[in-house]
Amino acid sequence: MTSIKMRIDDESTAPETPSFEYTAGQGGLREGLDDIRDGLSRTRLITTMVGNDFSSRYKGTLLGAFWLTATALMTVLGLGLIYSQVFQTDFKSYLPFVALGMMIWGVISSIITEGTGVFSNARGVFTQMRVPLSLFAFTLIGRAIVTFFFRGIVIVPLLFIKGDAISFVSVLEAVAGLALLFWIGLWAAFPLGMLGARFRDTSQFTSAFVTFAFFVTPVFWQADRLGAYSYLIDFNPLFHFINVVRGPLLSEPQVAMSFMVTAAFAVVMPMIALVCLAAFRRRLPYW
Amino acid sequence: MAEMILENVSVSYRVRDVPHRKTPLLTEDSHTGGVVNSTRKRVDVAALNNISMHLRDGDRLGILGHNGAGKTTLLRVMSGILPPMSGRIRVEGHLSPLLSIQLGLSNHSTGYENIFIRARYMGVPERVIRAQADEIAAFSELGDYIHFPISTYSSGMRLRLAFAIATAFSPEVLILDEWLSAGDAQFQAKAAKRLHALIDNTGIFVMASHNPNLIKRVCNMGLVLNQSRVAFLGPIDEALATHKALQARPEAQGASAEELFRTRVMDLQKIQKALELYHHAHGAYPSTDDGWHSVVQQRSENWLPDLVPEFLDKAPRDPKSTWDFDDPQYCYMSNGEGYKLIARRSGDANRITPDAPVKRDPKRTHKSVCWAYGMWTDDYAEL
Repeated sequence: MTSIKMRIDDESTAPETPSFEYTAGQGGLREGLDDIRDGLSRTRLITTMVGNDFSSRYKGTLLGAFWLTATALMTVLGLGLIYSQVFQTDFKSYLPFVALGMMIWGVISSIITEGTGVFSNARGVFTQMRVPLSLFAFTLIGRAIVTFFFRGIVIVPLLFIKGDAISFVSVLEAVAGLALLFWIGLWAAFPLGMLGARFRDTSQFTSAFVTFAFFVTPVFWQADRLGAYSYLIDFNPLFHFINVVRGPLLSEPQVAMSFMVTAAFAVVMPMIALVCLAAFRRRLPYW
Repeated sequence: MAEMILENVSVSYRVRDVPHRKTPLLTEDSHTGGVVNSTRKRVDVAALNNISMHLRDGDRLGILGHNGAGKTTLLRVMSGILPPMSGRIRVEGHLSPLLSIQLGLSNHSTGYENIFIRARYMGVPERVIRAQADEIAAFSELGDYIHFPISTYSSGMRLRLAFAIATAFSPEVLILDEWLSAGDAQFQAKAAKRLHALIDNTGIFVMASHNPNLIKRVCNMGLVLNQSRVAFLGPIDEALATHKALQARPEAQGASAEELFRTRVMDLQKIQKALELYHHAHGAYPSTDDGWHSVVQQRSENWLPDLVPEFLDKAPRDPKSTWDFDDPQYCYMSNGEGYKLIARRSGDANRITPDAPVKRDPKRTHKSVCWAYGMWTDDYAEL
């Protein structure tokens, strides 16, 4: 599938291949790949959609998108002040820990919850226009990246509170970990979105699940607090997702293992996404 | 070179969550909807059944059929939006379906920004958008408003902008669900000219419409859909005849002039009632932006939600001009404060002019007669 080019663009490059072709029961995988390629070719539309989203939410407000920063700052300070007392830990080392934990958790939870609606919320668009479905997954990730940028500003000053020097290598590691998370999120949006479009229970279930997961994942408490049971944490992939970003910066244990688990997800998730696209892309407008 | 091939295309929708046996299943004399197959928990509606055709450059296809015959579904399949459940479709050539021209407009952005936003949705390359943007802005006649957020626009201004954008880029395959129009009489004339030019420039043109007159003017081929199947595909005149035969209702033949007149008066009273209800709920009459709106099944829902369009269906049609089945029978103009309502015998939607006694058109004499009764409310300023 080539994206729609207008005749005025260049008459000499009329496509040899058809604009589109569907034969029922054939070519699902090729279409899935085409869909992703088409989605990638529409970068201007993706940035437009992301930009629109932010401008419709924050245009005319005093702080603009920096409201995200302000909200994040309040959450982090609140949690940091109270729980450093509750857990009897050092405020200066707990604050960056909880700040990183909360910001990364924000990325994970928003991708999971918004991912279930990524196609059902876009129904109005893809049942009226011919657009690649991957467009909506790209937009979701674009929005998550920009949101993280504004919320993540909070982390920067807090890293210096602790006083330990942070090496350049560990910053690179953390950025690589973050990139892996967005990569996984991009592909996870496809199966989540398809489940959400087909089964109306999905979004209810995931929001319940995310709340549960928030408390059983070491976001604002340290894994070793579980004592003898702390080995259980290793089975929680969400812990590893947080640890690939937070671990390098705060010299937490098990960073290497977390990277391996996350990398495994980063390899498997695109395959799942492609299988979903190949199998259900054509069904989606009918749901 | 544009080409469109459909081979045995079938589509059926599965409706879930239908309470068993509580659904009023479509009876045989029902004129709406596709063919329904129901089992215990779900209902399958066959929307398209074995559609095959081959369109080439120069083909202008008009799709006719009653509500629910499968027109919009077919347009969606042709647009590549809805992959068929069986069969094959292949389209060659840059395709532009204009099924919903306001989709993608962003309320918080200015009119000018929206030109880019909407064109990006349509997949137009940036270079082409930049080249066309000023022309689009000029055509929409929004003046300085083009730099205002479109949330400040009236619905008419929005529509003018949407129309200007949608018709600015010339595709090889153009697909329309109903004729596009916008604005007041003067703008409508300009819009019609632009749309005609766009159609003339495309290789393949496909349009679904309820208006046989319109289809006759712009199409050279006709497809009649009935109960999700092809009832006829071929020359436009024969297609219109098939459509007419399918549409014919007993009332259309036997009604006398007095009966017609009585029904028209009753219709007008019902419309008035709906307007009063609207006024009661919203504190104003639905505004038409001083453009004439026609109360016709397809459009009435948009500006007058309380008006149930079904009675128009039951109204006996003028037996002498059965071509005008879906032409507006009533015209409505409102500034919000008051309104003006006129029953017309005929005339098609694109030719209605604000001066109600329409100029006589030598070719269409019987169509230019106005029915005699209109209603004016006090607040409506005369033109």
